[in-house]
Amino acid sequence: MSIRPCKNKRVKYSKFDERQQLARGKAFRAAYYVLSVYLLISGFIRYVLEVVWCNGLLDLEIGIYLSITIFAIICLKNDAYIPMHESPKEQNILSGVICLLFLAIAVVYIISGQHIIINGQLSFSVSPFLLGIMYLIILPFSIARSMANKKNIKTE
Amino acid sequence: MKNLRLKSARAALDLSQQQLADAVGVTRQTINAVENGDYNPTIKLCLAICHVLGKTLNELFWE
Repeated sequence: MSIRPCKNKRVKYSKFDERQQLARGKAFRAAYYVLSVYLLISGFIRYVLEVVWCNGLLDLEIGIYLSITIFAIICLKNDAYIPMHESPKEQNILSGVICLLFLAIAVVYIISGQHIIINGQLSFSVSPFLLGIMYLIILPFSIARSMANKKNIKTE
Repeated sequence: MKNLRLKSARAALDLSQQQLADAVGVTRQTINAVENGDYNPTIKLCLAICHVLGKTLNELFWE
């Protein structure tokens, strides 16, 4: 009895329509494979070739950012990134602000003398910079998609 | 394959893709994809579109 209202609520307030959900599922699968392949290659480099080029946690983080970027780009390509009833403009502005914030934090880290390379390995301090780069890659795709959609409405 | 019958039924009621999308609870891009034959809608969405446009499944979606 307690599960039923929750299920109905979820269906009622679904953020994505059926086509978007399908596209997001495909994008998720692609991102999952990218993460798996990245972890395989990264593990091979670290444990078989014994080349340790970065902090272990950072290595995993790069894989996650990479897969999120792939997920976002595939979703954007299929018009499944921005939920229904949400403005692409607001999303783009928010992404831009977050991107700038992360890049600003990265610059502050560098200026304040945080060590990016410790014992010949890339340290965790580079994390905000990577996040900024991730948003910087996604943002142009998102803006291009919004512009293409506006053009489609005009030519409908 | 493009679904021109859907497009003409929508145009006959003077509805934009966005208006039809809002009425059936999907995005404009989904209606556009259905009209262009890029997306194969579920029977649930087909029925919703038929109800809004006042047509039968046969009239809009049968080959």
